[in-house]
Amino acid sequence: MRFLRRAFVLGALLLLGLGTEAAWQIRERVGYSSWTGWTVFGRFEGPSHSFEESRDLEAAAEVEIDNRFGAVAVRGTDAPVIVVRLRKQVFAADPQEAAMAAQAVRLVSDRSGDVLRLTAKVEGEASRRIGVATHFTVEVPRSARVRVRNEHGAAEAIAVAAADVETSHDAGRLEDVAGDARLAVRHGDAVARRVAGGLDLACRFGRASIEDAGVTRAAVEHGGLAVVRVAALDAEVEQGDTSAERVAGALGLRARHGDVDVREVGGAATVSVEIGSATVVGAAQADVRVTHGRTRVERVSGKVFASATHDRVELEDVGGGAEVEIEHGGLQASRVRGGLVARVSGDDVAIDGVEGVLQVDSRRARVRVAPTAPLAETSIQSEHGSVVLTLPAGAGAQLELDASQGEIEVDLPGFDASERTRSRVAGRVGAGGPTLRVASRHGDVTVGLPPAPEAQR
Amino acid sequence: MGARFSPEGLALGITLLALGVVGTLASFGVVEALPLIRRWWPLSLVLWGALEVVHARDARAARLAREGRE
Repeated sequence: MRFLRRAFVLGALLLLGLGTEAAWQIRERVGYSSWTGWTVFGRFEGPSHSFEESRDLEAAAEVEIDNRFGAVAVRGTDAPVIVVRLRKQVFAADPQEAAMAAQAVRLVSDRSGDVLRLTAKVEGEASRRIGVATHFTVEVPRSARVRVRNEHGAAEAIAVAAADVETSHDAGRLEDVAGDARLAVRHGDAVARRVAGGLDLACRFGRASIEDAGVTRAAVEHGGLAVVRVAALDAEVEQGDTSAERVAGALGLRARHGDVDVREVGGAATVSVEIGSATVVGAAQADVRVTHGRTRVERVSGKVFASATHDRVELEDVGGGAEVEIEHGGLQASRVRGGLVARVSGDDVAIDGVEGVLQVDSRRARVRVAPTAPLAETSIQSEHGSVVLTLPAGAGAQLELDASQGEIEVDLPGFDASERTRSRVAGRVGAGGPTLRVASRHGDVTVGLPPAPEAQR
Repeated sequence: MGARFSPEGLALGITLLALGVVGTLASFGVVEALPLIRRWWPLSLVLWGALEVVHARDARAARLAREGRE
């Protein structure tokens, strides 16, 4: 009996929750427009008839188009006039009823100074009961600035002086804009190509794609972002993968859920990812912070800062030194010039070909380091793992090796020990040089030369 | 009440009470019911779980007291 009562209460509470969610989703997706047609996912549904109306107008410096349902396409031409074509798509099965409804939809143009405003107006109650989509195709002089506000349908502006386009429930597109541009799309993809000025792009619930633009700002919520050839980029992506290629200036990118791939950045690349991997290949500087994902930084001419949690960091070909902080992950670094500072608490550390001052602090794993000549001051500390230091042949250095609970092994020809106890060895290698300090609390310390080519074979 | 109250009954009662209050406020235009319920309804499960914990603890204390008397 108690079981049945509990099952009933659980069912009632789940019904409350799921029912509320279902009602919410329906309210978000299905609507009844002020033009009184039912809409599903922001579009009219059912059979329709189309009717056309067109008008030639004097040129204006700025053209504004307001539309509720339907597509808006604006294209710049060499003609010194504005040509407007309005296709009225009436959602009614009866052709006569559709024709009457279409007659009640009027193209309205209103000129105020240099600004021409275009919209479609619905007159009469009868037409208000029928869904009407109004599709604008507008030809403007290339010198015109364009502003589009569309609520349910695709919108595009091509070959104009400047563009400001907002739409929802379908794609938004900008192409060949001579000046600044803004594109905001909800529930559709956003595409911007060849924008000579600055670009401000926002996209919710759709994928954003940008090619050849000036200084670009992008905000994407669900869908991802792809950017190619922009002057500079500042972007935020909530969900979805992000790629950016050939950014001439600085890049700032904040991603929450998704992988990030950045290539060929002329300025500094500043990337943060919450859940996902980050790859930066080719930049002047790099600041990469990742939680819960792999980090790879390659070919950076300046300084690199990388921090990561719960996955490893890979560095390759860094010219200006690097600083790395890793929790619960390992480090693999090769060909780092300008020194390396690494604090690692997690997996193995493998450093190959570092030039400059080297500081490594590792907590829980093995450390393998092979610096290149000329050697510089080096400090390697490991808490729970062994350390293997491989010196280049013929290098000179001072060694200070400590292993509290492990063994110390030095296999260097001509090593001159000045101090040798069970837990500490110090001495000179070759003609001496910078001090190399290696200490492991619970592991062994091994110092040697790289294997000879015969041995490698 | 002791160990004899019914957690599921109490949870359902409090949830209905809260729904009634939200519905009344919504009918007066003070709040919008749908987003409010959508956001907060899982609390009814939390409430039920908490009452089950209290109930189990009280039942255990009552059983120990009974065994002590015997």
